[in-house]
Amino acid sequence: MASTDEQKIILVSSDGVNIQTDRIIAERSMLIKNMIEDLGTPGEEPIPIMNVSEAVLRKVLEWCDHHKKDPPPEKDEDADTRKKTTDIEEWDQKFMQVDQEMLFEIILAANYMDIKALLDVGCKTVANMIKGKSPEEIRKTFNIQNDFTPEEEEQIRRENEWAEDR
Amino acid sequence: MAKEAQENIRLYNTQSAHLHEDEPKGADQGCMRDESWISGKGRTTSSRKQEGIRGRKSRENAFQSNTMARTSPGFTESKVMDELFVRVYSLDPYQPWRHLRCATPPHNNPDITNVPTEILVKIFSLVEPADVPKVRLTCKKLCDAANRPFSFEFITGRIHEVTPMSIKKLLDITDHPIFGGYVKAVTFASARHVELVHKDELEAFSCRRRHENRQRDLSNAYVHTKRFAHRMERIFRNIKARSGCVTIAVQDFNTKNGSKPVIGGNSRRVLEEATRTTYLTAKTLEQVVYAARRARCPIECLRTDIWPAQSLTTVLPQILESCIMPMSVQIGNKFEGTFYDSKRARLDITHGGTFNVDGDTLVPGRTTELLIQWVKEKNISELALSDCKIRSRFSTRSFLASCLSRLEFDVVECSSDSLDANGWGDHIQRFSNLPGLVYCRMNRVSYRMNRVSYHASIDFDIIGNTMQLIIGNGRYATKSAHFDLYFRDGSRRFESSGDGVCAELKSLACYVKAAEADKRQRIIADGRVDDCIIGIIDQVEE
Repeated sequence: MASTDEQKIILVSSDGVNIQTDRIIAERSMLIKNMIEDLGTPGEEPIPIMNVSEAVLRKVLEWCDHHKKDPPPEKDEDADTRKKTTDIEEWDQKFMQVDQEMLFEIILAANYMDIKALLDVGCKTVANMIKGKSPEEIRKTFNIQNDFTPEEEEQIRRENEWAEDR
Repeated sequence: MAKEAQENIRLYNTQSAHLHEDEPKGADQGCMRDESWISGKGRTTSSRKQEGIRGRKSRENAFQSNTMARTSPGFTESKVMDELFVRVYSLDPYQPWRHLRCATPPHNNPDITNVPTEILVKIFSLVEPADVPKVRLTCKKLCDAANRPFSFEFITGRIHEVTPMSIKKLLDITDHPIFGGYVKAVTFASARHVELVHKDELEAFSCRRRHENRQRDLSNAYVHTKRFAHRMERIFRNIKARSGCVTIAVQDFNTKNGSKPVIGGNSRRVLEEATRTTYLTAKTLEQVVYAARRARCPIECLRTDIWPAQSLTTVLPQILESCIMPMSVQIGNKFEGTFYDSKRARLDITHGGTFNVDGDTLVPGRTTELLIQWVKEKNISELALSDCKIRSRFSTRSFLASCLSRLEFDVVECSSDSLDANGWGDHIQRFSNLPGLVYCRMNRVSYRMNRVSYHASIDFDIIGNTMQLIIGNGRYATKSAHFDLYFRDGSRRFESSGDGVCAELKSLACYVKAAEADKRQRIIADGRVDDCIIGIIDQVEE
């Protein structure tokens, strides 16, 4: 039997395409890791990733491949939430240079497949897109319709003033 | 069953092919947030599944039908399609995980408005604080998601000044249906005298007539008013109902700390034009604490960074005696001050300023003494002294109850009249008799000998600039009556934990009893200490 490092497994995207990959790469995803552990027969049966299309799955696996040797995440939840840094390492920055649709696909896939580090990178990328923008610019960036009534907008402006009093 | 499903697929294809003909050109882009698309999610996935069965050749067709489903307002076959989706789904050849349900709804061409709220919250927590209010103005969904990051950033810990406008603002916040529940800690910039006051501020001020000729006392006066007391009470009632308890801090915000409060509205001008300020910290603290008591709002922690806090000497005992629940008190900042943490029953005293030098005697600051008095009533299980001086009359005995389990000394100077035959000052002797002690750390403890009345067994020889302290038959070379305590290994640090702490403390003394000339030579040879600062008593008469 092949060692865990060399084992191959087959993933099936939501549009039915089989993708073969190393088990070690795929196990960056906690979803897949848990599935393999639950079933105990890695490599024998293809694993369906129901919500992720082929193009996105390949992209996600590309990220997993590059980060397969990363140390496991520290269990420092508290520090994590406090951290405001939006620094992204260079490779990840390049990786995230995709159109917005793909960016959100990656974020949703990372969330669904439970890849925390990738979700973090995605969220940081979006956070950076918001940086320093006016509300109108944010709407334009993300193609958002303003659905506030003037009264609601005024109310929010008033609440926002509380932020300035610090 | 299989046949039926295949038939359905055929039906679906025909329909989509048919509808495709009506599709207007160029309508396939940029309409992702159209409602028809959102309701078309199920269909989208179904076409994907179907594609999985039938192979890639139908992919393009499926994509087109997708697009069509999104953009054609007249598309109403959703029921048929949903059923089809279920059937095709059940036909999926990859069945082993049939029991697994989709964790998130199927999505296609997502944008920010259909990202789940919990992910949006995560994103907005990473956004620069100054940008969060802007996100709230974009649309309802993003606003809802940004409320939590907004609250953590701006609402949880509030800073307000004792002026009518600022306190009114705090009341508005605690009244707010969403944000009211986030207020956990309030810091008050202490009331002050100011030279100039803006006219609008006067209008808002209820005691205008009384003080119209004494504008400089305006802010000063507000802290005394009933209106202030009532508002504060209402604020604490709100906080109690929503958050349960509150942390109160009173600060001066003087230029020494480099932080100036920025207060909204017209009061900003007050600050700019203020040329002379006098802080009324004690009064502010008193009024705020009493308001919290009237509102029966538990105070989790009370802080004030005013130090030395002479003005608190009358107020503090009252506050401490009247507190309505076990609470933590911090007087001073993290560099200097006294902190009692009720949860751990821990008393921290930091900075030598705690004890004032008065001639040859060291007198603890009055505020510290008050706090110690108050704390004494409680059982202290942890005591930490840092950068402190313990004078001979400082009663460590009061802390030496059986419940004291943790003891930490860091840069502590013990003033002692006498050392025992083992080289221990009387303060330290006592620590080896604490039955409950499970942790002890002493770092850089030093002695200052009271030369006027030393114990008979201690003798000083002054040879040049060096003083030789003789204990029993041993000697301790030191340059002054002040010398540091070194432990067994030549280090200045002793740390021990577990049941045997007291025994270890005693054995430290025993070490001094025994002659270990070899060890001493080794310590000196290792360069850990030099000859003149290691004290070894060669022989002690029993």
